Amino acid sequence: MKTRLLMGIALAAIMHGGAAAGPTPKMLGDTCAGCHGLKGASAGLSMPTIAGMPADFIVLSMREYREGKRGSTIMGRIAKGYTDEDFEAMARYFSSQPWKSAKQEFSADLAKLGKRVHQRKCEACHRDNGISTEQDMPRMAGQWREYLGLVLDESRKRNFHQSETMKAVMERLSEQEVTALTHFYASQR
Amino acid sequence: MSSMNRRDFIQFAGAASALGMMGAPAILHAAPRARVVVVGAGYGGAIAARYLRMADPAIEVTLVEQNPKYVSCPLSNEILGGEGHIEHLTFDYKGLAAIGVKIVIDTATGLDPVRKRLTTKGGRTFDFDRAILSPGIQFNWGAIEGYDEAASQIIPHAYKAGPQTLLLRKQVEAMRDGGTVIITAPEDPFRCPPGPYERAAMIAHYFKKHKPRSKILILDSKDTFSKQALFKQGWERFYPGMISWVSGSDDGDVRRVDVKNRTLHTMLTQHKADVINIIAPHRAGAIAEKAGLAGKNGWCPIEPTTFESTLHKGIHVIGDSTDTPMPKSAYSANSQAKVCVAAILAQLNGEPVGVPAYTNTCYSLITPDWGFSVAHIFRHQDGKMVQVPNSGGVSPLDASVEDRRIEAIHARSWFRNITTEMFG
Ligand SMILES: Cc1cc2nc3c(=O)[nH]c(=O)nc-3n(C[C@H](O)[C@H](O)[C@H](O)COP(=O)(O)OP(=O)(O)OC[C@H]3O[C@@H](n4cnc5c(N)ncnc54)[C@H](O)[C@@H]3O)c2cc1C
Repeated sequence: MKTRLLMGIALAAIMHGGAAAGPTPKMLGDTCAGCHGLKGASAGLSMPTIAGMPADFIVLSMREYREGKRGSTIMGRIAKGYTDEDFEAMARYFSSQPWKSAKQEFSADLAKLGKRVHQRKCEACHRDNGISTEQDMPRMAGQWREYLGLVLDESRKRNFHQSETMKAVMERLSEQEVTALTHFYASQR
Repeated sequence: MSSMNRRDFIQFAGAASALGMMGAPAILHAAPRARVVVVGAGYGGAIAARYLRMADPAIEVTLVEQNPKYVSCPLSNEILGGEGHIEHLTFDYKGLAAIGVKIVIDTATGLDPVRKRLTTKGGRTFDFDRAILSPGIQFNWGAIEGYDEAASQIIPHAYKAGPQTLLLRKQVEAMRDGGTVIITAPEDPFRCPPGPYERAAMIAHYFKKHKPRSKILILDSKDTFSKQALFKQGWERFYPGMISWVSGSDDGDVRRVDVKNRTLHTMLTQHKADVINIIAPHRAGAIAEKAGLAGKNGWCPIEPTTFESTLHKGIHVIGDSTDTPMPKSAYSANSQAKVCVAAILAQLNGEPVGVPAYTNTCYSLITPDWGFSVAHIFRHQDGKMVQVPNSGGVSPLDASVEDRRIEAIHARSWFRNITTEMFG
């Protein structure tokens, strides 16, 4: 116990003296939960679940928010409060939390139409009907429909919550196709 | 915990639970690792209780709350505007009980910080290793002459949600078209800095539809207020000529109320109104004050990495009651609760307390489809909480109509997330 305490003190001294160590991944992640839900599993229809998202996707998104390359209402202002190391810590935390698909309603007809749109336009990157997170792709399947509707439709019209690549794809989709897509992803759990 | 130190105990408890159902519960019943008493099941206390239990089920958490149900202040201004229902803002503690939080519906009346004992109105006593107080606020009755608890039954504050919210709503609803509502706003610091100004907008939203000749006057003790430019822009756009605001320097500071004649007195002027809402100045919750945790300014000084009172060891204070540079908001209380719990866990484990991170975001509505926000990111530096430079801030004044609509939608999603995090 005594040696442990001494080690603790020594460690604290090192942390204090050297390049200031930041908050733990959990400490940082917990500050996001008020909006993104407990452990990143959102209960709010317009806020995305970020639990289980690929770490590199989270870091990239946060950097782009901070630098204004990705449009947003509030994320840009929040991202300015954190360093790259913070982003990496947050990303470690959320990427290791289990994904939870949103419990929500969808129209079977629209989902059917959406599946066709997905296969034509999205499956090449968002594999496995939007379940896959390989190649640092954000998971789409089981994400909140309202959130997807907002960001996909807004990114159809302007650079909103999207990378440049996505924006180019989105410009070629119609409003109806976007709606159908959101129902398809809601139908995938 | 006699012959075992805490660290050994956790390892032992861990091994025992690995043995299965027989070992662990017996040990948990025998001796909790630590007894933590939390006072107040609001935005701070509910989160503290949940995060303690989530981190370590061997900690006994007793949550003492005076009301059988919690009614949220956030979104309660919408009720005044005739939108939403108070039931949607009302929560019970079943979700917390389900994760093993011991719920005690009673009023904490005494806290002995030396003997570490809490006593209640119902005559119960709770010995604890640590206490976390998140009792919200109490009003400074008499700060506005004539305004005391009895007066608030006639002229509501509606700044603790519940019956007060419904009383003000009833008065606004019963008012004649062409009447005037006066809202008084206090000096800083007070809970929810944008609250009075959002409230004006929500009442105007109702008037616009039902009593278009009516007016709202805000008498303020201050010269500036939160999100001021955004509020003024929103008022002008949706309720032109309906809302006026008088600053403290322009004689807006209310000194006295004549309850019977529904008249307010500032230094130089008398204001008669059909409906009055007095948001009286306030301070740390009564129990925190009684326990000797409040400073001269009425708020509780804390050490910012642990939220431990600087006046009494082993007692932590979070939320509105604390004296910190963070705005007194639900989000701040939530964020502070998590820092406090992480510190208590580290202390119990004999580990150094980690580096904290604190965040606040807060949405306000002008109409159900027009919202904006403020964000704050704080860090710990040289023993203080400091805002990260060039971060956070308010929504841009020139945001698109679409962005305002999206922020109004986010306001509701925020509410669902933060209350689900608290109550399950
Ligand atoms: C109109 C209005 C709108 C608001 N809108 C927002 C918003 O949109 N966003 C935001 O972030 N914040 C908002 N706030 C602020 C927010 O409500 C508070 O900052 C938040 O509730 C603070 O949390 P707390 O835990 O400190 O206190 P509270 O949430 O008030 O909880 C305190 C609890 O302690 C209990 N209690 C007190 N004393 C005792 C005792 N002796 N024994 C037992 N129980 C006791 C009380 O009954 C209560 O349940 C708003 C406030 C108002 C008034």
